[in-house]
Amino acid sequence: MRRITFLMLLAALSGTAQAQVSAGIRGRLTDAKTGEPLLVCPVTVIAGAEAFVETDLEGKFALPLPPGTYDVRFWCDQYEGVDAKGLRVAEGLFTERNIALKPVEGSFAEELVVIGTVDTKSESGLLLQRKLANTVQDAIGSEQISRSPDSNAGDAVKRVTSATVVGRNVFLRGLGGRYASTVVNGVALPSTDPDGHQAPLDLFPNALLSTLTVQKTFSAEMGGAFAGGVLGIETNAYPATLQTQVKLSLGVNTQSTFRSRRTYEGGSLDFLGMDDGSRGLPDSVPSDRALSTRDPQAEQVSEGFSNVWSSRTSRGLPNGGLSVSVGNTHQWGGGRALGYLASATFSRSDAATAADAQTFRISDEDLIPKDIYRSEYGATNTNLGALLNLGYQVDTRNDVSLLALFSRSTEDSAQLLSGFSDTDSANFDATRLKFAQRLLSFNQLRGTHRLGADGAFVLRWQGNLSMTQSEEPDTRDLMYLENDGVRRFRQAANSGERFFSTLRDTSGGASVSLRFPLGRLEMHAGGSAQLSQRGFDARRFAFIFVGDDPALLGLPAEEMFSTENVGPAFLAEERTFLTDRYDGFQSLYAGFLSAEASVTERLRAIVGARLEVFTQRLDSGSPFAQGQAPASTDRTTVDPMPALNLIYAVTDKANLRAGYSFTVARPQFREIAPFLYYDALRRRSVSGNPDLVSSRIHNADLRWEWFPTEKELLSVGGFYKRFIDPIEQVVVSSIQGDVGYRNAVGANAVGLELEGRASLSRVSEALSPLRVGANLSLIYSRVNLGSSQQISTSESRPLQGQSPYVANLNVTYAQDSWGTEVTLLYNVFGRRISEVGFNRLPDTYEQPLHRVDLTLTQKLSKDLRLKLTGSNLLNQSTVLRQLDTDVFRYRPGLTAAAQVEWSPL
Amino acid sequence: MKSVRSWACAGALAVLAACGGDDDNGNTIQGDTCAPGQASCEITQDITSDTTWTQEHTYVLKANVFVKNATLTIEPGTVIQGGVNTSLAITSTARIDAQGTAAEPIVFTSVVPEGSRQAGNWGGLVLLGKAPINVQGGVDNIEGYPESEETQYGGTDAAHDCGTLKYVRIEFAGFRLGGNNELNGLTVGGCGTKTTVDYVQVHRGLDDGVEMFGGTANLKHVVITLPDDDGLDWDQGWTGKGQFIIVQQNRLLGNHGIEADNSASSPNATPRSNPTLWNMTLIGSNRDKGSAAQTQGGAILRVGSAGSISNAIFAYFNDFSLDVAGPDSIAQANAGALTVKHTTFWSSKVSYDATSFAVKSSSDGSDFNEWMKFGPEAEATNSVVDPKLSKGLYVAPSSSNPKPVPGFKPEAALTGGTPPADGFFDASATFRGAVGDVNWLDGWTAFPES
Repeated sequence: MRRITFLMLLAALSGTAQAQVSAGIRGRLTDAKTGEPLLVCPVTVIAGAEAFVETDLEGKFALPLPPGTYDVRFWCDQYEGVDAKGLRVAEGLFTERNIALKPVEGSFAEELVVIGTVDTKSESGLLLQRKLANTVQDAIGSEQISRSPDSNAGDAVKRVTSATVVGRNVFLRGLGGRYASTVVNGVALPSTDPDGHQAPLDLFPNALLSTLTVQKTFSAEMGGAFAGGVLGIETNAYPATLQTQVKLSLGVNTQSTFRSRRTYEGGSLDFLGMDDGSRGLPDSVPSDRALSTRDPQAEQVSEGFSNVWSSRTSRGLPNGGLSVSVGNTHQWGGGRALGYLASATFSRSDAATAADAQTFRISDEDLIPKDIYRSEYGATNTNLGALLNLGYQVDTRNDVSLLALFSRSTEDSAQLLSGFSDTDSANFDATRLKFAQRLLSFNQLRGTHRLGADGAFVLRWQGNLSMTQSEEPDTRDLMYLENDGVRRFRQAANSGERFFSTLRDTSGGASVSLRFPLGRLEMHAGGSAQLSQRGFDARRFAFIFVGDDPALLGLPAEEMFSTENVGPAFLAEERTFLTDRYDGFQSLYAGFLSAEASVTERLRAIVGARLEVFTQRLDSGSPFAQGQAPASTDRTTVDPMPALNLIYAVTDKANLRAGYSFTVARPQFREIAPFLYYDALRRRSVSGNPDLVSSRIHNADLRWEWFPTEKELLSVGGFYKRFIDPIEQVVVSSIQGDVGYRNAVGANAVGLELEGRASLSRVSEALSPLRVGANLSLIYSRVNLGSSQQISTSESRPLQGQSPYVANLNVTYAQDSWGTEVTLLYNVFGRRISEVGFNRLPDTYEQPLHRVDLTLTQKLSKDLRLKLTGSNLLNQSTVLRQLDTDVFRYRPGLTAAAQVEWSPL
Repeated sequence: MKSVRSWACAGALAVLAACGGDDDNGNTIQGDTCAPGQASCEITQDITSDTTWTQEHTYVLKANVFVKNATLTIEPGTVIQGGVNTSLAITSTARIDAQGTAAEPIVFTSVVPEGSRQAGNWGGLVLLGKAPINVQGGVDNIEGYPESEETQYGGTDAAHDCGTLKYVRIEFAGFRLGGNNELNGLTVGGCGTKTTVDYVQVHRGLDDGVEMFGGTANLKHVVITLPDDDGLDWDQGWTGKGQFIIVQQNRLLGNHGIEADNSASSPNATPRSNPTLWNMTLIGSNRDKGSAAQTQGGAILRVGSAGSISNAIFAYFNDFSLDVAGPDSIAQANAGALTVKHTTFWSSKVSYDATSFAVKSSSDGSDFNEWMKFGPEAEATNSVVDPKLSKGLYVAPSSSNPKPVPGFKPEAALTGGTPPADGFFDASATFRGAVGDVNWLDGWTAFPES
């Protein structure tokens, strides 16, 4: 009641003002999430004049002002405020400013620049965040992601300047693996890959995503393992008002849908991405000893494995997905509020690829064909995700929130390779059946407290507990050789074998930080501890021929391994390696201190230092393999990391940034363990190297950025990185191409990054619905292996996976009055090393792929939206090449999908 | 003797905790101990100082044992046993001096009790040296071990001495060390001309019998019986010599008698594999074509290997006799750098001709035909006649013949060429096959089933 009175009073006042001048600022204030208007919210001029107005019942406002430059604050109760600086008002014109505000997790404080966090889902919010940030960063929000066909974080991140995705690895500025880390709400994400490099980005469906941010310069509050950048994933927050949403999608792919593809006889729950137990280790398998053919139970155990070895073909189904979410905020007096968001998503898709592959020898500069084969691959991918976000605001100064996220991804696949094997001088066909399931459970409790008389002390804390799990039950490998018309089972490694593995990583930690003013300085200090435990356990079994009649080896697998033959002619034998079990422990304790100061009115400097104490411990040794367990590894390193960031406001709309830091890249558990393990995927052995030391990296950045309007941007930047002791994988044995790790002599990476976003209304008012965005990165890197070259062919080469150029272009046409939005996206990367060559064979490069996607969004009614997408419209092929010869080629095909989005409330 | 004292001293140290440290060995006593009178001594650690193993003890390998910067001397009659995940590797900074006698051979065997032993019970014996190999950079790492300086082999010392193996038997070896790599019974990587391998038997190995990775080491009096894969395998530019070599293939599983490569990835890399081999007997399992678990041939010479084989017998191979595969070895054969002379080929199942003599591989890429090159019509010193060597075929034990012993002297009289008198070859061996009038296998070889 009081507020209404106040509003009427002010309306009256502004009314008087309006009568006098016909210039000023006007616009509309909306909820960033829902697009709903925000009513009765203050819009305050904080510099340049004394003026104040509140939005009307449509969220609109008009602030009459004389010509000049103004800073204006937009705010609303339960929303995070935004300051727009340097708004120019020209004679006789109203400057338009439409602002979307994000529901709060923090609360309002008397800070001049940003209040809490800016709404980062929207494009304008992200740009504002970038403009105000202390570090060089690039980002995309859910608003942009929704304009693309991208379905998860792994798909979407490639739209960010100089980010690429190779397989499941994200590469930032051409640097992948250990050089690109991923954090969720500020906490490092554990890997689901036994070697520990890949962050499972595909476990983040975009229904749960708010923002992807790539931090490109280091600052002291970030983790010190920093090189190419840090990909930050922010999950969705709760909405301010009751909101429900249901999304249903259906899609087709030209390679898989209704097409014949490889599959195999699985379990009854496969359609849910769950194994019904049919792939489990048979109960009869001894759990106290290795299985030998002399075991009294050998026959019974051997018959316990499911007798499915071969693939068959079936028609692929259309892809589908469903996601639902509900959220709301309940408010009480005194700023007390409780918000929640719950969402769940499920999707299923079939994939099929048919690739032509060959391997080569080299004689002088000529490649001579060796193995020539075709790969037919069929898979069903199932994803399930759920998120709960609860926030409780105690009062305007204190809030806590809880995030619980669960995601599961299953890839059930069958692959058939067939062709000529030179090693065996015979035709071959090899089948691999594999069911791989990865789980992530991430839980975090965090809080913010504004202390002191004016809330100038900001205390933030968080505690997290996460679990990842990667399971591969019953991966089956089978190979036959055919010579002179006789096709026989090949008894060898990778044939007649079954592999069962589980990887579990549990990680818990906490951090606390405090921001406080100290004289003219803004100080930030904090500490964190993160402990994780990682266990890998696998067992392998091989079916070996113990009979007398080799004619049995010519039977199809299911007949060969029938109960009739298992026992007298075939028995399963344990093939578990000593290194098939390991237990790792890792701890990271860190502390940091940084100071931010305005050196001059326009120059801000942030100086900080971080100290990290990092410990890795690894014990390995499977009880199902005999022999001497490898020595355990225990190593602690202490790394200090300085950081300097300078921001010079060239104008109110343009910044010049410079940054320097000295960071670290550490080896993974198994890279420093003095043992050999088998990489079943690439069929080669990998040796750890106990002499490896952490790499240190000098990072230097320079960037100029200009924000002409809140949705426009032009930025030019460059970076230089010098690696000391970079850790490189090198080929150490010529026979199978086994690999090891070395600290190379050195590496350098230098790059140029350009980005622009503009509205074409600059060109002509008629083009105002058109917006264009583009980014381009040019990167040059070189690693010098020196004496650690071993038998790798190149002594000096680009870093593996680094593209010399990466470009993105997107054009959006938005016709608000029709509720229509069309976006065209283009992405390309330059050729990059996919496999390092050895023993004179040249490096293999993945060739550029031009990818064009199109999306159309149409509002059908107040609560119904339709989105149509088409991906890879140019139907480009993925090609790997050695010298000028294709070694692997396939077509991923075109994908088309339709999605209906229903928001009844 | 110094090292015997060192072992004895180490034993005493363990037992009595008293041992003078002032003697001439000067080494810090470390590693495994083996007390006098102790029947079985476990070897769990690398050997880093000169050491002698005596026949008084049975040495049980408990790990992958590397000998570094030291000489391992093994006395006649000594038995060394290995289990799962164990092997013995003589690194390029070390030597082995294992000289048995025909009466008292040195035996490397499985720790599993007799009767239950199988191929692959333990790893095998690995000799590494610094003689040239043809991989890029000249240095490679032997597979199957975590790579380190100790696993390296190859270099520029063509005369490198890996040591001496004489009257040595290696049985039931070939365990998969890691990954998909099965160790050979005897692996010789980059060993040089000063190395001696003479009177060595590899019996029932899971992978190849003997594999030569480059180097210049010579082989003499080598018996490879019942390997699960190839008999003699060479690769990476082996340029040594060999005389009196026997391969008896496995009944069901065996692959080829000889598998020869120059370099899998660059077939014309140098030094090119180019051994000179005289007096070989290669015996297959005499089954019908296509009826064993693997394709079985006398020799497959591939990817750029050159070499010369003389005074050999290729008999009873199931699928083919001699195959030169791939354009690069074919080029060597056409240039006269890959020769087979004074050799007798025989199969009791097929009569050799242009199609049955060799296999046609899709990678051959030319009209090359082995029969037209090595058959008796093209090479007059070669013949297709029955060597009457069926006693060399594998026979399963039976109640009437519980411990069958093969015989490798052909009953047919087959005169061959004269080996060069260069100090290595026995120039008097003008017969075909590895065994003439003197049965040099007597006494020290053994053919246990399990």
